[in-house]
Amino acid sequence: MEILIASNLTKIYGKDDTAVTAVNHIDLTIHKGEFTAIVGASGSGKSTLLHLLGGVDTPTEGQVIIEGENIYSLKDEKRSILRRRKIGFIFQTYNLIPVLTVRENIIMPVLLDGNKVDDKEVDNLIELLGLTERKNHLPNQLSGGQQQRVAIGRAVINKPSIIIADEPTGNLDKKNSEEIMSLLMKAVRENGQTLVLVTHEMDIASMADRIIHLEDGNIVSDTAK
Amino acid sequence: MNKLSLLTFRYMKVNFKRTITTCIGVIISTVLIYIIFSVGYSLYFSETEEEYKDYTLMCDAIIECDGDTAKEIVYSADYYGKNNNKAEVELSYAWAVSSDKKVNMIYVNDFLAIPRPLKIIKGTFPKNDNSVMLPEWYKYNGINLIGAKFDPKSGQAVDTPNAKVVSGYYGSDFHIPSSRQEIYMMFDGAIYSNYGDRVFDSDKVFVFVTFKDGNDIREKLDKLKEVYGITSTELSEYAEVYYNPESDLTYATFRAFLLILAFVGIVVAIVIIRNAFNISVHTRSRDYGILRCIGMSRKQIIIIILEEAFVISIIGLLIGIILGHGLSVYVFGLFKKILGLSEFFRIRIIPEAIILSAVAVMIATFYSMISPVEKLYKINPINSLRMTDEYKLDKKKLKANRGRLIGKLFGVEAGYAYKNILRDKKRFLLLTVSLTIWTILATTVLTTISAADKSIYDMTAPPCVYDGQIDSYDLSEAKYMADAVDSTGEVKSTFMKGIAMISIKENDFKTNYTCYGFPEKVYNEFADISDGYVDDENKPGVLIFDNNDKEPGDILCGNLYVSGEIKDFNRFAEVFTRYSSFSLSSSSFSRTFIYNIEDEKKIFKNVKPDIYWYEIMVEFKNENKHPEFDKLINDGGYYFSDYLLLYKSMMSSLKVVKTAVITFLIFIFVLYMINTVNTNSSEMILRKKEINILRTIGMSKKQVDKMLYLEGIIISIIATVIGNIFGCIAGNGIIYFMLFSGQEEGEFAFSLHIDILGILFIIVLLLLINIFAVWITKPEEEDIVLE
Repeated sequence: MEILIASNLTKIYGKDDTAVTAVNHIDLTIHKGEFTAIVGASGSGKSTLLHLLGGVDTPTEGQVIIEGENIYSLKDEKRSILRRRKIGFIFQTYNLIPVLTVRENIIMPVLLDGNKVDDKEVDNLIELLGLTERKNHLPNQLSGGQQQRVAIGRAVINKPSIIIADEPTGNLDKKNSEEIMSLLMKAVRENGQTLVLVTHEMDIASMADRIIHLEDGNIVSDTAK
Repeated sequence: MNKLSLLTFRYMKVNFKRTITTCIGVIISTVLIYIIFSVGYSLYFSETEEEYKDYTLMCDAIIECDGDTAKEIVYSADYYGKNNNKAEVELSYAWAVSSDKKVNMIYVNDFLAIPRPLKIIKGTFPKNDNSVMLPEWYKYNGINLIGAKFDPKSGQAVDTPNAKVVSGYYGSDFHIPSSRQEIYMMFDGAIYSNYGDRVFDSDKVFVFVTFKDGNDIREKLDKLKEVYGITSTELSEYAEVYYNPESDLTYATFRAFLLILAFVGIVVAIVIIRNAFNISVHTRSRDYGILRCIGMSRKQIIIIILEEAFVISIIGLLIGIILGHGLSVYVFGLFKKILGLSEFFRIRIIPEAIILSAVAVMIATFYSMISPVEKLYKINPINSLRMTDEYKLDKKKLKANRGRLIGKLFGVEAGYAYKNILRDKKRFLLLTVSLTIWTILATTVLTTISAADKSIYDMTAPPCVYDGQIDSYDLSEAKYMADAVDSTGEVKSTFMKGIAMISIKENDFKTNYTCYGFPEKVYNEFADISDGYVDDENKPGVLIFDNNDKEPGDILCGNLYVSGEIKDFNRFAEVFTRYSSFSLSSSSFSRTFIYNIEDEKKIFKNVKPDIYWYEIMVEFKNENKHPEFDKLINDGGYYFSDYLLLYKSMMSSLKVVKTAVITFLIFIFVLYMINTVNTNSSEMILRKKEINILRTIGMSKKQVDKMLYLEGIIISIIATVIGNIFGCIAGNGIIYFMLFSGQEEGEFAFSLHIDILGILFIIVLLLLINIFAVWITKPEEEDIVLE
């Protein structure tokens, strides 16, 4: 079942002589429950593609349809709601809110929706992430791996249908990387969530159901297992 | 409050210093605005009819009666009131005005006359809407109060049980060393002294009476009517007093001044709060980017920042209003002292002032949020994470050649500093304009104060040799006093002169009347010391009256105009002093026509003076010590106008004004300093990465500092140049238009003025502000880290 369709997706930075095409007329369909890895050299446009798919950047051309909704035709308010409900973001640099504790960071998407926090559910998630002892700590009191686990918690708290991860293990050592990937794989395999992940590590990419190879903003190969 | 308030309060807590700084900004602005509203409203309410209804100082009642009865009442009050016995009706005092000569016009052109507004007494005396009475003059200006004792320490007359009659003449420019003290009236007829008795010649006299005991006025009035056989129905229980808008020019000026201050307060509040929140937005833009990525809408982000603004303004308002009220008590006290306000002028808690201050500060706060909110609204999640879109560069301004010359002249850092200033037009304008406003304000104030200083010096400088004067309304008494003063042995010289006011009759004007009679010898003396003539159009012996605003029936004061160059200033002054009430200003010599009383008949061939009095000018051997003379004055119950005391009193008033104004300037200065530091702080946050790059590629710490200091200095120079030019214009404008509004041309004592020292002081201060702002915000050594 198709969950995300990108068609003719283009992103050009700059103008005229200085124009750089980061994503070049890409057509892409992602299926529900699929783990897709996007790989490519630095500057190949993989992060830009990921941001466009996640609705945090604006394409120069083309459209992205998530569960039947063209996200770039939506107004900001609705697109924000879609992001918080249907998409979970994970960044290489964690991007946690420094003034909030572990628990507060995780529940932020729930609060944004104005919903009541299910404490039990949150505690279970924190336990699953192995952060129970750290739940009242601020991000700067955590290791890189722990921060990324918080980011995963924040990404999955609303049970989004798509998790978008931009090199989530890029700043982590091997052990932490494995732990993070294990958590993400669990989300895909056990919860049926869709994972789109950018990486330049082939070990990580090899875990995916599908590997898309990007070069100069173009898809040069799209391989499914 | 909502679930996201968690973030709001967390940010406030984490950025505690910034929260406190912003809060202080709001507090200071609130204090400033509240003081202005509170003082303004308190003054206003003290002036209202409501206040005056209870203000029985003027009188308890006004009685219309014939001259004989009036005389009886006044004399009864005079003698029995004084001796505290025998009076059938216990009057404290009474004074009378004749009714056949209605008061036609009166105006005050005295800035310091603000607290003593002229009021129309409705339905009593007189019935003309344009008519006015002088309810407070006797209290404030001893010179207007015949027979009143004058307290030199307070500068006010002391109420006496003696009958009091307001003389139909003006205040006191000759003894108070500033023409600002002048109060000038024109009458359609004189109000006579009851000592002169002429007031009682009329069949219709109004008597202003005050009872010893203010209770049961109605009964006392009935008794008074019965005792004196008054049948008139024109008996008012209370003197109703109404506001006279026509004499309100000085009030309007004062209110405009307060409004300008309020405006400045609001602008300052906006600038500070705006800056503080801009910094918050800059520093948190990455956080906001993350929040946007995880699904926070623009609206929700804006709510966070608005909520923060709301909380800060509420805290700031509460503290500000409490502090503001405390300070406004002090400020109002200063105003009372400066303006000589009476006791019933009091500061009060005025809901309007609180509401207006709150509204003004709230508006200022939320208006200040427009720019940060706009920035937030445009925030792009990804760019915020990358922190790439924070600085908008004006490419046109940053063309390669810009700053090259400056760079060659002052080094590469100066060239770079110049480019930095040009790169962000808004920031440059914000900083420069705010500093320019302060400079204008400071220059304006310093120019005005400096001109006032100079004016006082001019007015009291030699050759005005006399140390004071005694006034008398009786020639034989005046002569007696002059002899008595001489006999004390403490006086170096005395000079007696008479002063007249001349009633020009309607027919006189119809025939284009010119008052002849100026003595030949006087003319000759003036001709001798000037370049040979007194007035182009007039032959010797002609006295030209100042006919401004003349109307049939007006009393005019004659001004002697001397044209041409004065050959010997000291001698001129000496002659002038001898023949006139001496008033010297830097711009004009003018004042009341004075003549030697012995020449009266010669001078006034066609006009009869309606009122005159005598002044015994006194020069002491030792101006600080003259006990015999003091005893003579006290025993005789005379009023001696001591120039030295008045000068000191004036200086003291000026000192209070200076203190108040300079305090205000310092207040604003501190706010601007906070603002400049804030602006620089946000600049440093924005440029941190760039400065670190410069450091990485080899720019030394010293070079970075030099570049940043030069930026501050360039802005200071621009602000001081523009600010001082406009400040000098504004200051002189105030001198010319504001302080002397209502005065006739040529009468002002202040001269147009440029205060060089003040300007230099401001330049140094502005340089220091910017250098301090850079010093406190410039990056430290450990900041050389590329993120």
